[in-house]
Amino acid sequence: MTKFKFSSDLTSKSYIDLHEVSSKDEDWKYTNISQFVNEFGKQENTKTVQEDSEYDINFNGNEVLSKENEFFSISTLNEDTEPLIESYYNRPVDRFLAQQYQKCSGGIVVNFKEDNEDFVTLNVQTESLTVPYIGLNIEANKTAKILINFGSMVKANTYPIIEVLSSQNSNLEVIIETETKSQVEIINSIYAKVRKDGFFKIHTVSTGAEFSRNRIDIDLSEDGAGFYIDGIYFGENDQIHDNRVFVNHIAKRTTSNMVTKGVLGDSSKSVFTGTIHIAEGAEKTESFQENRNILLSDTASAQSVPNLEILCDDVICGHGSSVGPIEENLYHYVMSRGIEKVDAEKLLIQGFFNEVINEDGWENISEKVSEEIMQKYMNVLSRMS
Amino acid sequence: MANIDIDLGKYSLGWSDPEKNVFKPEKGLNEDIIRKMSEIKEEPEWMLDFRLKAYQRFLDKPMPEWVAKEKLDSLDFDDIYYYIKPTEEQASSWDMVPEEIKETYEKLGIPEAERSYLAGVTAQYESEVVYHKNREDLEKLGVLFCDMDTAVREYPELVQEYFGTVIPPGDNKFAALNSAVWSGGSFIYVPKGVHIEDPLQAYFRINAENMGQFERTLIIVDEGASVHYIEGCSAPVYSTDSLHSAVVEIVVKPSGTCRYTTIQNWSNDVFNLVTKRAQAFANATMEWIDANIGSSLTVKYPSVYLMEPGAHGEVLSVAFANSGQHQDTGAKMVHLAPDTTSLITSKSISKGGGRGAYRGLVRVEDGSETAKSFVRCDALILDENSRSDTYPYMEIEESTAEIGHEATVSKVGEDQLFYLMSRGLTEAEATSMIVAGFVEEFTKTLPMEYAMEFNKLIELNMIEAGAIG
Repeated sequence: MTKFKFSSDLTSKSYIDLHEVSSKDEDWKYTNISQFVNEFGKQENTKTVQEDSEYDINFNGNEVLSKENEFFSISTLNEDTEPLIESYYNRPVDRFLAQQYQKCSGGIVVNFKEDNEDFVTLNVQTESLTVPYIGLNIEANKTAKILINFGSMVKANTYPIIEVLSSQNSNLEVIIETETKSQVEIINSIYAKVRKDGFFKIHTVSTGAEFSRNRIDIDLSEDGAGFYIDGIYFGENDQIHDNRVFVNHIAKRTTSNMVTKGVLGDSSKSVFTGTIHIAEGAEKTESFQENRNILLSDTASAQSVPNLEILCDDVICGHGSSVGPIEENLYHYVMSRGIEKVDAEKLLIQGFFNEVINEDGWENISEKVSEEIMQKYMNVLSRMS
Repeated sequence: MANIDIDLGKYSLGWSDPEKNVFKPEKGLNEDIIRKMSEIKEEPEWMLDFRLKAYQRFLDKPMPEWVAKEKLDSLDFDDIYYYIKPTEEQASSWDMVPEEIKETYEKLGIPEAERSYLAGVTAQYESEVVYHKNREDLEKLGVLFCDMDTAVREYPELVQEYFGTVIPPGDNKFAALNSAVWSGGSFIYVPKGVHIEDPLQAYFRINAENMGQFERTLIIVDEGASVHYIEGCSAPVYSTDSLHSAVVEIVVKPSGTCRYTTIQNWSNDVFNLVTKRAQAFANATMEWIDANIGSSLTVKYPSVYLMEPGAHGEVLSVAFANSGQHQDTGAKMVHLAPDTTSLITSKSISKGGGRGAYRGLVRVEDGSETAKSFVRCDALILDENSRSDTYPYMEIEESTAEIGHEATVSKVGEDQLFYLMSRGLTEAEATSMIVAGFVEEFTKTLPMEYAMEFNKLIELNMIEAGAIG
């Protein structure tokens, strides 16, 4: 198996030296880990990790055949590739994460060198357990967009590593769409380092997979860096959608904003843990997080833990979260206009998600996502009646 | 804003009296000390049994890793006295209380409290309750209010029925420790339909250096009854750490009401690791009103288990973390039945490098239909060296439950300061006034005398620093 060069923060010790992850770990508290990543977690398990993941890359509606064009270049990760990220600030390393880096099955590094207004689409394809690496490097003063899709071509457990390096005054927008219908686990470990006045924006859609998890660590490492995430999830059957976002405000005038919203039907479950960490000296920081959940059925559940760790006084910081059914007064409003309860619920759920998917950056996928959500909603409804 | 610092050596309640104790075992803990303690207290067999089993649990349980690890690691369980009996007999009138202990209370204003309240006063000085007086009409109503040791002897059936049922000894390491070596604390039983108008109060003090205080309080509020209990703490300053690990268990039966107010002002070398939990039955109300100003480390999350339909729980928590302090406080609400409601309001202030944290849990079990809970956390950070954390856990298994959480963290607003200072206040006075306003929600739940004492404490924490800032 090829050994790749990554930051020594993650490779200095063998993952075997770290204790096995379990629900006792804060980071895996609400996920019964024994049910999931065990085939990856056990030391003696040598189940082959598929080497060389396959990608189908599209740009401007055409398949990208050449690895180089005026907007970006794509290189394959090899043993000589220098690490994109040298070091992390306070990144919590657990056995699972260390294992991902040590068992990485290869991948690509996309280097954005000119402004591109259209999304580059990266469709990930897997047939057996895969740990692909996707590195995104954006040069100074540039704007770029990329959509990473875990769709119908993902047929096995996939544990991607996504690393982002946002240079000075750059602007990168990433959509991560998890929509595969396969009963698989997709566990993304996403890391971004945002430099001076850079801005990194991420949109997540979690509708597919049996267990989908976006573990996102952000270092706003230089003054004026910004991060924004908005995401939606819809659970049916026994799906689990897990979003963990750790934002480190290390420098002055950094900003972050998180909005995640989800609806849970059947016996599905959602987990949201957001931690805003504002380091000493990170003055004039502004940070907000919001997580909203609607539970549609008796057996659905939601865990929401929006944490704040603030070591600095000159900040504006707030968070809010809620779990509950659709509010009665909203029903009343819609139904008083002559709409049946069933239709009212549908409208209100649409509206609930529209607050996210009608925002900037969703134009390309909002229609598709909206349809997907409504389909899932109808599925849940049909099982309830 | 100037860096505000406070010299805790000037702490006004921080004096200590020469030690004069009747029985003083060695530091550290073993089964023999527990047996000896139980023997001196003339306890029934089941209590000794309870203690010994709990001691085993204490040994088996690991130290919690998720909170204040460095501070907890510095705790040496072998360097603590686990039981001290200060006087031979319990005093039943003020005159019988030994002179030096009395002096300590005089400084704290206990006689005034007694005069003005005419309610029962239980004062805990070291491990035994030394002064205790029940208001006569309380006795007539059938209210039982005494120290826990007396209750074990005199009301064994009542105690045995509830003791350790709300907080089992194995709940956590410190509850296990308390269960093994508890001494003193209050026992209250309020019979059916009895409303106690004035608050019942107890004052706790730690005196001997490295003295561990492990009081145990049990309150039973019978159907339709109500009580307000006030616990105020204050301790002399010592250089080495003292451990305070209390357990408070409360049972509020159908339609009963209980309010438990704490003003915790241990001196800044005390570790205050407390387990407080209440069970509220049908349509009962339980309120924890909890202020933490003192101590080096406080770990305390008063909780309410809402057992039956219509039960209501409230926690109003105020924490002031000053230099060297870590206040890890919060609340837990566990909804186990339909139509239960809960409200958590947390106000925390961090200053001079102090660390204030809200750590809370709202858990709604499946089947708790239309349960409602709201959590509000506000934090004020007064300088750049301080830290404020919010860890609100929400675990919701019920689809009809409505759960909300909002939090804000900010510093004192420039515009507020400007407004007050333009009217002639100094910056320190203005800040102090803003802080007092920030915690007013808490202060106004207190009886007048306590509210004044509390405001004084806040002012002490704020204004003294003003001389420097």
